[in-house]
Amino acid sequence: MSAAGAAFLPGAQGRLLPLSLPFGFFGTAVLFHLAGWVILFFAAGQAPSFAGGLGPVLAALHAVTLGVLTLTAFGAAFQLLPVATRQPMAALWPIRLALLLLAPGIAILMWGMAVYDAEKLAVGGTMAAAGMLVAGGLLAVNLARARGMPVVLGFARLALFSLFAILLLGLGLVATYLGRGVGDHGMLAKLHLVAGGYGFMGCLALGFSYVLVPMFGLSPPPKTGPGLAVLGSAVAALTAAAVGIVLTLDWLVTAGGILGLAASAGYLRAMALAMKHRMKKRMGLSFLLVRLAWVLLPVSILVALAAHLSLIPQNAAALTGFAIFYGWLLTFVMGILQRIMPFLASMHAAKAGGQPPLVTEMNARGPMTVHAVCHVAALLLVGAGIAADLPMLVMAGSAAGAIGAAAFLWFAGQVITRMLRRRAAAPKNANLRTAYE
Amino acid sequence: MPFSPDTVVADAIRSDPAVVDRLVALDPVFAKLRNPVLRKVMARLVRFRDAAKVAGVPLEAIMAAVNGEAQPASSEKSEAPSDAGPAPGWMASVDPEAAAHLDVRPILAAGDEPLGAVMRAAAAVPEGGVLLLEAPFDPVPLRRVLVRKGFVSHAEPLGPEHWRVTFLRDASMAAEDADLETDDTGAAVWNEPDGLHVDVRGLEPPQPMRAIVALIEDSGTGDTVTVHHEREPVFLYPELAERGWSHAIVAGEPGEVRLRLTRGSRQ
Repeated sequence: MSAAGAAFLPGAQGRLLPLSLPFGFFGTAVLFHLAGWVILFFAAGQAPSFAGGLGPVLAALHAVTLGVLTLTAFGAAFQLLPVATRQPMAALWPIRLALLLLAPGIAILMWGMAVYDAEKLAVGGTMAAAGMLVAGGLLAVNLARARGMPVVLGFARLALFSLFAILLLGLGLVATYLGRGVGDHGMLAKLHLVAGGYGFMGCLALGFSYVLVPMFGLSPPPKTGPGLAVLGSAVAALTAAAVGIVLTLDWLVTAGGILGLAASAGYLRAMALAMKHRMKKRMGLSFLLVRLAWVLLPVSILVALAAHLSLIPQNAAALTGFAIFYGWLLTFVMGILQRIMPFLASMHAAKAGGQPPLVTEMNARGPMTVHAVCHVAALLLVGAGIAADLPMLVMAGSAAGAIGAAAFLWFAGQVITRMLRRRAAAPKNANLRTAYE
Repeated sequence: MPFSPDTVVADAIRSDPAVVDRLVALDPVFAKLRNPVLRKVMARLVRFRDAAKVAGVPLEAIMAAVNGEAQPASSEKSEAPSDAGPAPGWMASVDPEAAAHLDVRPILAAGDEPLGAVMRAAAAVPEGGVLLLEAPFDPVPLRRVLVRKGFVSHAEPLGPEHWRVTFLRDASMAAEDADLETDDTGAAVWNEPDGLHVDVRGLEPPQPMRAIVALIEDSGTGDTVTVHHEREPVFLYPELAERGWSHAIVAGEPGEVRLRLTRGSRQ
């Protein structure tokens, strides 16, 4: 970098966060990923018949939903949302605070769930909720100053709205466990599932796809009109489902599911076009997982619809939750994480001076392959085990998932180690600080 | 593979230089393409679809000619050259005395590339300001590029090989005009003595990255490219590294991040 370039012009700064922030979120998510499968392994006997309620299965589910999906979503959002909004994050301390609250909060919440302890539930739930409020608030501030990319921003706003709904619903559920609840627990749980799976996480996945997929594939950005139609369908779907659940109008919930299928069709068409017109021909192993997730999105909605219409003979609740959170969302997030971590590592290693290392130099192909194979095997085995009410299959699938998660942990470790080695080898006068610092 | 209406003329000529001869045989108006400067300026931005509008030649006749096929039954000049159409309402408020002027006809006649001069002139126009451009043809692709930089435009023919294009910088109006064609990143590319320049300011992500990567992957691009950006493109760097290009930030205009990309061995 030239001396002239080292003095950044106002408003023209790069927007790379300090590496401890995104990698803090991603690294913690990778640990919860392993925990989610390990807990499910030990709770395999209860998994097929799970229909809500405290216990290790609920803990495993929240290891995935909060520990993996939410932490990864926040880590990615803090780094990527400024690209879409063309506004840097207002401050960094809320990001650090959010992680400090979320990581232990989620762990305590899971502990409370696993051992049927409502007080631990309350402590962990409060910490996690506080962390999500801080994170969500920072993202809301960034969105308020946003310009450009209306589809991405629309989904981000819908996701934030859903996040605040989840927080209220989650605290409401904790209150029922403490004997202080208001409202029907079953209804709250269904709303929590819809708001969490398709509201918060789903909208973040869809919204960020509109920026991540073109970025990784070097594709033209999807057209705004169809994207807004997808957003509109998603809003209608979530609204119909939520109102239908609250007012016990089954037909409205069904309508919500059908609208959700329409939204997913529009989204998948945009992704297909992006892939068709991409400049980068080889997308790598990570995008095999992303493509699989694209197939599982409509599958998860169909499973949810089938469960709602009582078309699934047994274990409908467990199958629905598994299809949404482990099937569609976890597959998508692990695919994106597998792509984004070496990419970010390369950019941070570039700060050490000289030219950035190749992304492939930051990668670890062996563990990535093990993870992908084990993840797919886990989905098939656990899914079959739930559908057929065979805990042994769930156990075998969870073991595969845990091996895959351990491989992913190894992969993440390799990426971080290589990045830190490059930075440690930097010339003494290298500027390792990002534009935010 | 046959050429399509959305094929960039420069790409077609590169893959089959005889395209120029077939177009000239179709209509002498394409003799301009024998001028290497005009070919560089026009052909890089122009697609066959644009060429039909600019030249007033039916698109199907052009496609038959470039693909070496028989001409369609009706191949008369039925399409008027880019018709000025009625002047939009904002033209009534344009004061030619207060506008910036640029006549690129002498630049082209001298064998030089005018795009750099156009981009510099456009950059100096404030919001609400006007640039009057005199050109030998309706620069449809240039107008499309400047839409993305916040300009609306109106072109009118004044005589043989003389068009006047009025550019008004109005970001809100331009936002309504912008179209997102899949094959056009909207970047402006031109030659300077120090090599190729590309201006990606105002483009929606990932168009800047696409434009830059497309340029460095083009075998006709030299060993250096200067990028005019509005922020440091950190996400671009791994892509450059993969393709064996290095980067350095150099001095630019206020509010601009300017990068010099160099093809060569990595450290």
